[in-house]
Amino acid sequence: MDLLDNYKKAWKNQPEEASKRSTIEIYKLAHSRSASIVKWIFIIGILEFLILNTLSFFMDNDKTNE
Amino acid sequence: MQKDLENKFLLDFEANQNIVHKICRIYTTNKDAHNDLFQEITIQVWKNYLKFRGDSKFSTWMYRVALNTAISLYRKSTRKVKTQDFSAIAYKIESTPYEDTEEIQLKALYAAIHRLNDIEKALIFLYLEDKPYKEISETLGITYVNARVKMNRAKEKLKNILNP
Repeated sequence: MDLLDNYKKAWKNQPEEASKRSTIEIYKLAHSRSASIVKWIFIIGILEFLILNTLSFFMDNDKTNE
Repeated sequence: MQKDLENKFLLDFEANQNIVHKICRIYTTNKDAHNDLFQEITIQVWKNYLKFRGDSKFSTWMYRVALNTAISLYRKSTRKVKTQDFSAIAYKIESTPYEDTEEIQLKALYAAIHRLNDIEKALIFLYLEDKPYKEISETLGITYVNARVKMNRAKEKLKNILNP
């Protein structure tokens, strides 16, 4: 018998996942935000902060301060 | 209409969630990463469920969506600093002779799979799940011949890791 056939048998007999999710948990997961979307929101937030801060350097604040 | 579809999705997904857990286990090495990938796959399967027309079995279709999600996430994460879990290298300490119990064999198998690249992982997973080459090629979006060639290489690599 092939070496892999032996392991395949072990694979087939592996116990089912212990922490199975219920339909309610699956519902919550399916409607949560994807991590990649959250990441983009974070990046856009940082960009906004940086752009607005650099803009303030170019503005003439002296007049307002007078 | 949307509610019916949603209920059907929940029941289908719950019944087939073991497939997703197995995929999470081969692509991640710790519980947190496992849960993150499980969540991402759940989101993607639900998002794509609206486009699922039922020309194939739900489980067959789910293999495709779940594996593609795992592969694309894995690609992104390769740029991060890599850490290795102890369990992933523990097989180097134990020997794995033929008459070992199935539990030890399974551990060694997972540890060996963790050392394959993302596509090889998917190929070996589908081989272990007894999928025919036609389905493997459709799932991974490659030709039949290419699937056979790549599978043979992946199997050889796995054998070498298991039995150096």
